Amino acid sequence: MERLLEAGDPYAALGAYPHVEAGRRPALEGIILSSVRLRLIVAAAPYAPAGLLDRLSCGAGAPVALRLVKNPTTPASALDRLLRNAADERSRRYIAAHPRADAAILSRLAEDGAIEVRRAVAGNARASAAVIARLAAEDDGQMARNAAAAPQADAATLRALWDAGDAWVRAEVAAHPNCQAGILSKAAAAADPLIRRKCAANPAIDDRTLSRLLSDPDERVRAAAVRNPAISGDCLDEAGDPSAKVRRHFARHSRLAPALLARLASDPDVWVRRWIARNPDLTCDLLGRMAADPQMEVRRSVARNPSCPPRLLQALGSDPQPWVRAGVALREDLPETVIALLADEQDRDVLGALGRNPRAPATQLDAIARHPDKDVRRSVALNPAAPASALALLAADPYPLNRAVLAGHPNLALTLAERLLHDPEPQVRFAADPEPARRRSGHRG
Amino acid sequence: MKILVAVKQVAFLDDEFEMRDDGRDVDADFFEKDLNEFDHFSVEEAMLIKEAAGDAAEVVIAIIGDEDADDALRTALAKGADRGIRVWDEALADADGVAVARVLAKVVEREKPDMVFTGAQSADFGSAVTGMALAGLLGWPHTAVVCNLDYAPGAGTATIRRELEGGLEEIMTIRCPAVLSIQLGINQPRYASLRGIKQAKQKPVDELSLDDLGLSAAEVVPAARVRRMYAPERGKAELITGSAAEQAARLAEIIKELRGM
Repeated sequence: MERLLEAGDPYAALGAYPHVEAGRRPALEGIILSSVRLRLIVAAAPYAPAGLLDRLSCGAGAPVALRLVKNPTTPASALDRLLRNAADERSRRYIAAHPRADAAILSRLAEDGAIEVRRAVAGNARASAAVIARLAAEDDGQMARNAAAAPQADAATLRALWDAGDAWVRAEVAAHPNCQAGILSKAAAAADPLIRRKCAANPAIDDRTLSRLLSDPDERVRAAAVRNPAISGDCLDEAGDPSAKVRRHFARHSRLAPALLARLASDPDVWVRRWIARNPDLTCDLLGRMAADPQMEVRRSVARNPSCPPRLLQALGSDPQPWVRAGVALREDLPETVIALLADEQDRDVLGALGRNPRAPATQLDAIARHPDKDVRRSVALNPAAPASALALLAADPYPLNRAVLAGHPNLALTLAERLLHDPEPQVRFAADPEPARRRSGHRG
Repeated sequence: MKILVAVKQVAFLDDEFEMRDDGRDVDADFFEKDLNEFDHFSVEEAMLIKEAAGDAAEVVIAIIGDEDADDALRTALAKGADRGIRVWDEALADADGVAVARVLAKVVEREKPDMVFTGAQSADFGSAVTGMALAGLLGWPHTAVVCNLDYAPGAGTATIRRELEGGLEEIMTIRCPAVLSIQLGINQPRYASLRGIKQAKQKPVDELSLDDLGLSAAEVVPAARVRRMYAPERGKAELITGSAAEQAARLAEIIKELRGM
């Protein structure tokens, strides 16, 4: 704390602010908010601590207030204060849409004279069921659409919206988890494919309706049904679908019948094969076949598959395409033989992947930390097992982002952490931990 | 052998900003300041020549600005330049590109460099006039938008490549000393090392006034004056939603509004 006060650096003080006792924060506030320019910067910063934004909202002028209501981190207490200080319509609209606006604020703004403000309340996920019901009764298409999509909208409100709404409102109602079964049945049989599609995506839909929608003539409806989180891979029809778009969604399911897996592994569509090649249920035989796929993206997916056997990793580690070898290099379960295979790598993608792999040898990590490409060097700062020698190199890296990333490394030596606190770049000083020793003993919260 | 690189500290605007009371500029509280992006490339080009010459060349950075401009000057010095010159006088507060060129011409007379680099333009005002005006005042050759340079320290000519309209490029030879306005992308500017940043704080910087250069305030009066700065009203875009019938109805409304019906 004494060092921070002595340095008088606003960015280091901002980084330390959440970690100092409440009684000592005013001293830091004096540094962080010492000029108009800094107050404007902090008010707009989503990384600024909520307590500081709350403090900033007291007596804020119009430019600071506008930045605060647009900042997603601003707490409800500050929003309430700004609202009470005669906010203009634009600011009220931002508060009405703010993710931290609480029930009391939203209830008050639901009575606002400006329709844009009320529409924003209807579109706020935190608006209560009562507020949504009140706004849904207004004769306004946009309001109705927002209300129908509101997570808190109750069954009665959704029923009223379905009865009075246009196709867009009905589509939102059909997608809502609180929608009643009777409406879902009507939605599943609607002439408008938009309504059927939204209905097919609803996790509250019953199995029979979902099965029917899986056979819908519209491919977008079938795709939505396949994407429905309520569906199990086991239920998916293995007869196949003529649309590649639908099959791509099949391929993304984790649990699929063996026969379906095998067929999708030979699918003519490359995206289907890319997805299926990542499925951990693939047999070694199928993985081996896909490892010889002419498309490198498919081979990379095989390399990223957790079930990929060592012999295939060995083969893919010598793939002519660096993107495939980079997929291998990312794996933290690499056998020693494959690591040795990658020892002479020169490609930046492969080196970047190897740099963040905790299994990579220390000598290789040291070499990567010296690489001429700044993005390759940064990979080592992301490696939790990076040796102290590599971290020391990165602490002197000319690229500021690399030093900022390094500041969060769990094994950073105290001397290096201390040095980063005095870094010439503000972003590094902000990221630097003012109390690394305390963090390591588990006190940082 | 000496290369003089003229740099500028430019201002970037916040998303939300307010105008000054006199309506002729943005309130300085809403500015972020930094070294002009183009100048990173001209400094790098000078450093590459210096390094290729085995450090026999000297790179001098010149900037016009008050104490705030020291940050931009030190940023350039941290990349390896040898020393800096900062010129300031209250009379330069509203200086335009030509007035700045008059000051730089005096700096060139004093320093006698073999080559002068400027950025192709400044990122904030984009006038692209300083290099051209400076060459005119000195009576030196000038080339703008240089995207490749082949120059050995002490050589009587340099070979340059520059961008033209329609994707064309031209290769030309220019007599030295010359003023070259350097284009983005001519090289890959380095990041200053921590050691370089530390050393930059100790590097010599001459702080000069107009008097020191033998100029009077009357000689740097800008030829043009900003009368008003404002954000023009923007055209509106509207996302039309709803059913096909609703969308058609709204489109008809807009057409009627535009035709004054």
